[in-house]
Amino acid sequence: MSQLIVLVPFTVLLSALILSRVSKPITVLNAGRLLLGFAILGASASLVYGLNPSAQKEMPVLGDFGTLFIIDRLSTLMFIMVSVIGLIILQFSKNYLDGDARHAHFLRSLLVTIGLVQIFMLAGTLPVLIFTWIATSFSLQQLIFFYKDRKEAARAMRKKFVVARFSDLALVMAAWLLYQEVGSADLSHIFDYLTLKSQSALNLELAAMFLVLAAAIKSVQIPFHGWVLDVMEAPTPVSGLLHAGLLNAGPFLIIRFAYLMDVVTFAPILLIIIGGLSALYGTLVFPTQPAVKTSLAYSSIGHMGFSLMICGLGLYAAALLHLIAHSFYKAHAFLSSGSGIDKKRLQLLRGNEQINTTFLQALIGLILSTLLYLIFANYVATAEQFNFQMYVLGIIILLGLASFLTKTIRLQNGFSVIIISLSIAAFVLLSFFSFEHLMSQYLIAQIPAIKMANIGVQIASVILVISYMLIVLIQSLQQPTKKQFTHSKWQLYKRNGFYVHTIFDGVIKKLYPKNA
Amino acid sequence: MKNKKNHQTINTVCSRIAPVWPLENSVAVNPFLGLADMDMERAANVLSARGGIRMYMPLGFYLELINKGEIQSDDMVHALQKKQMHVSVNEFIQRISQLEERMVPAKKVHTVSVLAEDVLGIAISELLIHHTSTWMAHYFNLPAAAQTSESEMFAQWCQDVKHDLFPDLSGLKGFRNAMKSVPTNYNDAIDYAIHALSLNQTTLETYTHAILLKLLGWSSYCAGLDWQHKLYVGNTHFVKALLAMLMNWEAALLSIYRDLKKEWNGLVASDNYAVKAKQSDELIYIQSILQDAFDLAGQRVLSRKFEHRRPLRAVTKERPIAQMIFCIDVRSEVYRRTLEGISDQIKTLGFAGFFGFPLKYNPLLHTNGKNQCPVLIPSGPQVIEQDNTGQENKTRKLRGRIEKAWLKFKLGSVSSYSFVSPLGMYFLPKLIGDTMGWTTPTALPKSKEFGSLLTGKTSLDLSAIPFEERLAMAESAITAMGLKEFAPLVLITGHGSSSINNPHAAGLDCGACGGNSGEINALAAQLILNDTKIRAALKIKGIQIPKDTLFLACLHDTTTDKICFLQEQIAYDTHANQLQQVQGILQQASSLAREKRAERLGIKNQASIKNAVLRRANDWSQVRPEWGLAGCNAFVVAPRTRTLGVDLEGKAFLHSYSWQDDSNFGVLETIMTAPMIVTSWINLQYYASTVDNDRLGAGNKTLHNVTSGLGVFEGAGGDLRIGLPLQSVHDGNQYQHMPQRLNVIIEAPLQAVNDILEKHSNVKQLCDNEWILLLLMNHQGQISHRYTGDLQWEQLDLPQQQTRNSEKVELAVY
Repeated sequence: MSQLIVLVPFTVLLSALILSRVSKPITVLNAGRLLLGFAILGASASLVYGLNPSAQKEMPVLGDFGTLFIIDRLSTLMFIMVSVIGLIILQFSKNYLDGDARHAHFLRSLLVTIGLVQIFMLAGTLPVLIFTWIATSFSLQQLIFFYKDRKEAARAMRKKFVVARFSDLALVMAAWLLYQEVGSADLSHIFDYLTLKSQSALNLELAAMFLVLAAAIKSVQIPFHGWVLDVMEAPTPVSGLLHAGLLNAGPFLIIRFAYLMDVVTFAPILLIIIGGLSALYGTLVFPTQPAVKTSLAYSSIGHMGFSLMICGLGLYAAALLHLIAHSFYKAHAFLSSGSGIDKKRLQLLRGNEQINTTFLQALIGLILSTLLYLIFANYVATAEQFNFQMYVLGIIILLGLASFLTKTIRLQNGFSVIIISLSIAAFVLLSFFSFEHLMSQYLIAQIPAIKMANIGVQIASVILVISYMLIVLIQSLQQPTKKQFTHSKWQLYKRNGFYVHTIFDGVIKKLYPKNA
Repeated sequence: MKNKKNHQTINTVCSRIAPVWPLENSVAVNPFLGLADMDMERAANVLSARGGIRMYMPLGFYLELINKGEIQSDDMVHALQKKQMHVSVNEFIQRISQLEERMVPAKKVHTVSVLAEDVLGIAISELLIHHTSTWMAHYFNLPAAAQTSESEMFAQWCQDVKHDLFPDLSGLKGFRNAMKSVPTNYNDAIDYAIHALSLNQTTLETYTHAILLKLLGWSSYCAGLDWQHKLYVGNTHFVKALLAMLMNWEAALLSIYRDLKKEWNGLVASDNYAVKAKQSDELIYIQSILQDAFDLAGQRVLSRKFEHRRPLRAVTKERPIAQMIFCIDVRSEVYRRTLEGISDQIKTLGFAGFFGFPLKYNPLLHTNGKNQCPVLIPSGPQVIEQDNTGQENKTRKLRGRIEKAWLKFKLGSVSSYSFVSPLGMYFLPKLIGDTMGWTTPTALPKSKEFGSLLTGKTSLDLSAIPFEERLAMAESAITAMGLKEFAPLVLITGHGSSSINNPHAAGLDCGACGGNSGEINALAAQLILNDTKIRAALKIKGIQIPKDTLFLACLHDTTTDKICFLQEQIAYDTHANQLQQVQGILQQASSLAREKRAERLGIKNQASIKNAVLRRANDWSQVRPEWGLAGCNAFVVAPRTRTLGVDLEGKAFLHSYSWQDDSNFGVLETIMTAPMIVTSWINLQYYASTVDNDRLGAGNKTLHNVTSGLGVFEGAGGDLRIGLPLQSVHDGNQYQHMPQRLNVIIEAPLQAVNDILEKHSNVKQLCDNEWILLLLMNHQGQISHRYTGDLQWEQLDLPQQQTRNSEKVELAVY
C-alpha cells in the first residue's frame, strides 16, 4: 500500500501534461490539489506504518518497481515535506497569479517541478537520481523565466543554466566513480556495499568529493550563488518553491549518501569548509540587505551552508532537521514577504528606545544560556547527544540564545520579563533537544552512528565555532548609534556580498557574449 | 554654486519631480505635478523625449473604443475641432490606423550612459540604475537616514563610491579613481559635473531632467522628503543631491572613456539636443486628440446621467433618525446610493474624510506619530493615546523590548541558525493557518496602532489642543459640511480598508487622513462635537446643535462594506432605540452594497458573497482585495439632492455643497483649493498608472520585493517603483480604470468660480491646461457649462433638443 505513493509524482507529471494549454487554471489547480493531497495522506500513512515497531526498521522496497525507488524513512519524510510545501504554494498561486494570461501554464509548471522533486526524493538508482537532478533544474528554469519579456529574468536563467551544468557534471562523475567501485547503480546495493566497507578507496574518496561539489553548487554555495539573488525576477511562489523545495537537493543528496561520507576522509572536511564558509558568508550579508527577498536569498545560502556543514560533522539527523525546519520557515518567509511594510509599521510601535549592551551583560547572557543548556543537557538530552559534534552544534544554538537573553535579562525590565525570557529560552532548548532526538531516532537505521570526529574535522569546526562566537560577541556589543552608516570599507564590502557574484557575473558575461 | 542661472535652472528641474510617500502611509500624488505649467500634450512630449514615459494609451486602445461606440462621432468631431484639425472623422481614423505600427515617439534625449551603450555596447544605463538605486535603498534602510540632511547623504555617497568596487568589477575600469576628484559638497559637485559634461544654459535643463527621470522612483522619493520637510521643518534639497550623484556618475564615464567624450560634446553642442517648445511628435499629437475625444465621451455619459435623473422619491421634510457624513471617496458613492435606496430615515453627506480635524496621532511609544491629514497641509495639533489602565504603557514597553530581542535572535547573524533549527518546524502550522485564513502572517498594524482605543484600554487625549482651537475646528467643520439641521444621530463615518500581506495596503486607506484609516479623526470629531462646552460656545456663534443630537464615530470598511461604530456604548443610555434602528438599516445596506461590488470583483456565487468578500480581506495571496478608487473620473460639488438617484457607478467623488449657504464663497474656495486638488491627484495617479504602468506605475505585484521598509522593487532590483501596481488597475482581462481626466462638476455661480480661479493661479493653471476638466451645474441640476480656459466657458446643449443619438462611427478600415 505504502508503495503506491510512488505513483503520485508520475500522476502529477502526467496530469500536468494531459491538462493541455486550453485548460482553465482551476482545472489544473484541482488536479494538483487532489494529487498532492493524496500524496500527503498516502505518505503519512506509510510513515506511520513504518514507525510501527513490528514493521521492519527499513521500509520494504517495492518489488514491482524494481529498485528504481527507495521508500524509506528519509525519502518518505522528504516526500511529505515537498508535497505539503508544494500544495501550499500551489494554493497560494491560485489568487496570487489570478488574471495572468499564463496562469494555467504557471500552475502546470509548478506541478511538473513538484512532481520531479518528488521523484528525486524517492530515487533508488543512480540514473533516476541523475535524471531528476537535471530535470528539476530545467523545469525550474521554465519557472524563473516565466515572464519572457523581462531581460533580468533571462539573465538570471542564463546564469543558472551555466552553473547548474557544473553541478550535473559533478553528479555524473560521482555516479560513474561509484558505479566503477561498487558495480551497481542501485542505491540499496551501494549502501550495502558501503556499510560493509571499513576502508576507504580512491574511487570512493573522489566520488564523495564530486558529490559534495554537486551538492554545493546545487545548493548555491559560494561562489556559485549569484543566480539565486536574481530569482526574484519570477513570481513569489517560485522563490518559495525554490528556497523551500529545490535548494534542499544538495544537503538531501549528502544525507542520502551518509554511508559514503562516513567511510571517506576528505569529503566531510570539504563539506565543513564549503558549508561553513557559505554559512558564514550568508549570515554576515543577509542582515545588511534592505530588500526583503534579497535578504532571504542570502539567508538561504547561509542555511544551506549550515546544513552541509552539519553533514560534514556527521550529524545527519540534525542536518535533516535543519533542512526541513528551514524549508517551512523559508516558505513562510517568502509567501509573507508582502508584509514588509506591515512589519515596518509594527516596528515603529515598539518605540525608539535603544537597548545597549555592556560586556558584563553579554557575559551574563552567555552564562545564563549555558546554565540552561546544561540543565537541559542533563535532564532531557539523550546519550547520543553527547559527543564532540553535538557540542559544536550545541554551542551555536547556545550562542543565539545568549544574544537573546543578553538583551532581555535586565533588572530594570522587572521580574516578569526575566521569567518570560527564560521560559522562551527554555522552550527553544526543549524544542531543540526533542526535535533532534526525534529525528535521530527516526533515522536511526538509515544513517551511520556518530563517530569520533577526525582531527581535520575537529580543527575545521573549532575555527568555525570561534569565528561564530566572535561575530555574536561583536554584534551584541555593537552599540546602535544614531547614524549607523559607518564609513568603513568592511561595511561597504559586506553590503555588496564581498563582490563575489559581481566577479562571477563578469565570468559568465565572458562565457555568454551579449546577444545570447 | 558659481553660476546663479544654472542654479535656478536646476531648482526648476528638481521641482518638476512629483513627490511620493513611503508605502507605510502612501497617498495618491499627481505624477505630473511639476508639469502643470504645460498642457498635457506638451508634457507628454517632454516626458516622452526625456524619460521615454508614455502619457497616453496606445492607438489601438482608442480605436477599439471608437469601434465599440464608446467614443462617438460627435466626440471625435469635437476633439478634432478643438485642435483645429480640418479633416473628417473617417479620414482621421484611416490615417491613424496606418500609424498603429509605429508605437514609439521619435525623439529621445540622450544621457551619457545611453550614448555609451550605443558606442561601447555595454548596458551602462542598467548599471547606473542598479548601482545608484541599491545605494539609495541601503542608505534609507537606516532608521536615522530620513532625518539626515541632503548634504550628509551626498557626502556619504561620495565616500562610498570612492571605495566601492562594483562599477570597476562590472566593466567600468577606473570608475573609482574618476570619483576621487568629485567635491563632497553637492552644490560644488553639480558645478563640477556641469563642467565635465560640457553643459550650457540651454542643454542643462534637458539633461538634468532626463537624468532624474532615469531614476524616477528615487527622485520622487527624494521629492517626497523635500515636500514633507518643507511642511514641517524647513526646506531641504534631496532631489538636488540625488541629481549631483547621477550627474557625477555620468561624468565619470566621460573621464574613463575619452572617445566617448568627443561624441558627447558633439551631441550636446548640436541644436537638436533640447526638446523644442513648439514641436510635437506626430504620434503624441494624434493621441492627444483621441484622449480629448475619450474625455468628451466621458462627459457626454455623465451629462446624460444628470439629464435623466429621476429622484427616488419626494424628498421628505421630516427629521431623519440619522445623518451620515462620509468621505468624498468614490467608494462611499456606492454605499450612499445603496443606503438611500432602502431607507429615507438616514441622510448622507460627503466631506473630506478627515472631517476638518487635521491631527497628528501619537500611539503610545510610537516613534514618529502619524499625520492624519491631507498631505497638502501640515498636520495640526497632536493627539495622543492615553493609558487608562496605568498598565498598558508599561506592558507595551516591556513587550516591545522582548519583541526586539526576539527579532534580533531570529534575524541576527549566526543566531538565525539557532532560531531555525529548533523553531522552524513551527512554521508548518503557521503556513497552514495563513493559507486557510485562520491566522495572519503578522499582527495587523492597525489593530496595534489604535485597537486599544476601541476596547477602552486607552483613550484619545485631546488636551494638547486648546479650547479655542477645538472650537474653531468644530465651527469650521460644521460650516464647511453645511450642517444646519441635526438628526438625533450624526454618524461621522471615516473609512479604511482591510487587506493583509499587501505592501500597497495604505493606498487603499483614506487619502484625506494621509494614507491612514479614518478612525482617529472620526473619534476626535465625536469627542469635540459632543462636548457640552463646545456646543455652548458654538451656540454663541449661531450654530445650534439640538440637545438630543449625538455624534458617533463610525468606520466604513471599504473592502468588506461593513460599517462599525467605534464607541457605540456612548449611545446606549440616550439613543438606544435609534442606534438599533440605524444598525439594522446599515446591516441591510452593507449586504446590498457588497452585492453591487461583487460583480466587479468577479465573485460568482451569489449565496456566499459575504464570505467571499471577508475571505478576500484576509487572504495573504490576494492581489486585488478591493478595487480602491479605480474608475474615478468625476467630482461633484453640489447638494446631495442633485446626485440622489443617479447611478454614478462608484466613479464619482461627492462633496456636499450648497452655494446659497456660502455667503462669500469661502467654502467653495476651500473645496477648489483642497479637495479638488486631492481628487485630481488621485485621478491622475490612476491615469498615469494605467497609461504607463512600467514607468509611472508599480508594475507587477507578483514580483514585488519590499525594500528599506518604504517601497518596492519589481524583481531583484532596478529603480524604486512608484504609483499603483498593474493589478490595481487591470483585472487580467481589461482595465478597471479607464484613463480619463477628472470632470469637476460644481453647482455655483460662474462668476464665483471664476473669481476663485483668478485668485489661485495654480488652480487656474490646472484647469487651463486641462489637467482638470471643469464643468458647471445649473439650478436644474444639469451640466450646463464647460470651462474652455482662461476664465472662458462654453454653454452646453441642454436636454430639450438633446434627443438625437450620436451615431456610431463607421469604420471602413476594419
